[in-house]
Amino acid sequence: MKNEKNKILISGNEAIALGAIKAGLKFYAAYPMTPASSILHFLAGHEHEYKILVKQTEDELAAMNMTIGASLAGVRAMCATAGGGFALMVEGLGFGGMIETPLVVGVVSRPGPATSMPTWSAQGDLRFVMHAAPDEFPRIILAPGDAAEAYHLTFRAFNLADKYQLPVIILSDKNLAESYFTVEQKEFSEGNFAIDRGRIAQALTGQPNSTYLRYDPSIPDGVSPRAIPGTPGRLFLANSDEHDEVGYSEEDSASRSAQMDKRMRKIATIIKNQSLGLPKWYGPAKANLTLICWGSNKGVALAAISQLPDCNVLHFSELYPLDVPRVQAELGKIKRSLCVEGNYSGQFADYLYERTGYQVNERLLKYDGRPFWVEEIVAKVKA
Amino acid sequence: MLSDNQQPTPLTIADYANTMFPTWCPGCGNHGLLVAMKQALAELQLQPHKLFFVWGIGCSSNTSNWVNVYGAHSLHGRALPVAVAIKLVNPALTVIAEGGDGDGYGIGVGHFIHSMRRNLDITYIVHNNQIYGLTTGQASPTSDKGMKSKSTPCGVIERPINPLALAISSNATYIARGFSGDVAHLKQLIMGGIKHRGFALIDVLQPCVTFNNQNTYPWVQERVYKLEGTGHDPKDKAQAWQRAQEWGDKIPIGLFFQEDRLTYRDEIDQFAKDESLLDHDISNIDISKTLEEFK
Ligand SMILES: Cc1ncc(C[n+]2csc(CCOP(=O)(O)OP(=O)(O)O)c2C)c(N)n1
Ligand code: SF4
Repeated sequence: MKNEKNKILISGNEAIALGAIKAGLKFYAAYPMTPASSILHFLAGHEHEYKILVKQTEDELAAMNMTIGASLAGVRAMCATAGGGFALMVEGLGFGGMIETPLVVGVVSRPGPATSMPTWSAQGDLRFVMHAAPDEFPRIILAPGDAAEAYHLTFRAFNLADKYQLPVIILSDKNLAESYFTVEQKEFSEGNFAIDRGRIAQALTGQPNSTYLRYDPSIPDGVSPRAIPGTPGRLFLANSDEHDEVGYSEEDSASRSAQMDKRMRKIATIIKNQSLGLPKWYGPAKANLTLICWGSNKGVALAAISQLPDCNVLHFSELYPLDVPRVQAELGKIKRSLCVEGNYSGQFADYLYERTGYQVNERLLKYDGRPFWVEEIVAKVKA
Repeated sequence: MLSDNQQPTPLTIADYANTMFPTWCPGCGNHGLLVAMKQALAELQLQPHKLFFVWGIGCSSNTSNWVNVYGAHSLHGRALPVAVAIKLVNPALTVIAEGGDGDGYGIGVGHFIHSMRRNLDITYIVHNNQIYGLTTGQASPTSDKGMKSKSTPCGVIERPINPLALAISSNATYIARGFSGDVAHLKQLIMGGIKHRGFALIDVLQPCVTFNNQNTYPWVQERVYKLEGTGHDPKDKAQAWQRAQEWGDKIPIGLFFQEDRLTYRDEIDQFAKDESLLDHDISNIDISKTLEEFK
């Protein structure tokens, strides 16, 4: 068949890896853990072609801290793991947030807690990635719904991480990671692939060994230019202790508050810039019932509404931070809703309520490690 | 205009200092270690902006606040993975990691072993005071058996870690022990470590005058002797192993072992030896060939 030539067959994990390559990934570190390992394998298999440094580390602590080191050194860097490995990375995630270093972290979920069911799927880590690490710092969470979204969102994750100097988490799961998608090749070759490395401080050659105000808290949008180590005249300290504007440890009350405000201000900046997209509608514009879902449940929800008249889908792939008024406007279009998600309590439904005040009417939850079947969604709607 | 490698006058130790004064306890061994470090940097004329220091967390790692270099004051036990990645990405930087014995031989011991077998061109300086200083005096992995501390009121039961023997068996390529009470000797060891192309461990006996009343200055002073002049051959691993077992009435300081070995970066064949990954153009990566793999 002629048009088959223009199609590719690709898994969610391969799409994430390709998105990272396209974004100029230079350093990838990981400790093997299902269902994230195939990202490691794919990138290791392409490290010569794209001149990437892929490092299998001694543990996830090393993977995270090496990724931070590589990013601090100035290149695009990423690590990925499953929930258990992410648990080991969490202190490092906070370190990345504290020193405002761009970071892209893949979390490919399986059921938990602990080792649980390594080769099965779940969406149980949403609250975990949202709140992981002590205290608060800004982060972005993206959850692609299919291979093409995985590719494009991963590409964007690097731009967002650089632009806002914070960790961007790509939340996937075994269901998306190992499912194969038939996609038009142009979905991978067309789009906006401009690289945005954000604000970078330029050399000051006259005084090559001077420090600068790396963490200037007066910057209105919270994003102060970062320097690449080795740059003359831009010395600073990337300090996991609370710090002053150069990076030296500082516990003064006003300074602490100013640094905290500076970092947290980025959330408002992200929302103001409309850097994250709104949830997407699928199916008829008006329907009696809306299936609300996020991440990997996009495919099964779309398949279900093809069998259900008067039903549409609202799918979220850019989860955090939410642009609350604009999301509320979308939610306001819903008559009745059924939230379909792969965890015990309905973490996303609760999150929506917490942020927007919108309460889903019903929940369809599954936490046995299996993906949703089209039939069970259809049966639930018809019941 | 000066190019970034030129300075009108040679660098002095003042170029590595900022305006703050260390808050370490008076008499703390960290003071001597910092002097030795700055002297070594000045003697090697290393530009502060071409240096990248990575510290863990501890009294020792608070050095980060009193020096003028590029650096990261990272997490407790995590200095080495950060340092490793910096060196992997940008070999033009001189990378030095520093921390305490709890940091490197306790919570970070996994990274310590793996960094040594990896052999990147990094210098790792461990301020070994055989106690947890910053957290006010608990036993450390190098505390002598029987040592009483806040957390071990009846004495430490475990045998101490032997960092030098661990380094020898983990294939570090420059292994030395210094004493912060002998700054001139320590400076030479640090310079040797920085000049060495490979992973250099310098374990430094650094008395904690506040929380370790056992391994004091006089205690160390009475025991240390220099390997230089004893006929010790640092190329001989078996001899180094023998010397590394000495701990008690006699404690050797100096260079135990050194060998030339390719670094991890040297053996990565997708990059030239000293190629910086920062020089790669990422503005328009063409993935069309890889897309064909999926057809
Ligand atoms: C994950 C974590 N656990 C514990 C601590 C608390 N802590 C800070 S420094 C330290 C040990 C200090 O001892 P050492 O590493 O020997 O350094 P020193 O202070 O003696 O120089 C501990 C346990 C921490 N900062 N992070
Ligand atoms: S507590 Fe010990 S190690 Fe820490 S500064 Fe004081 S003397 Fe030095």
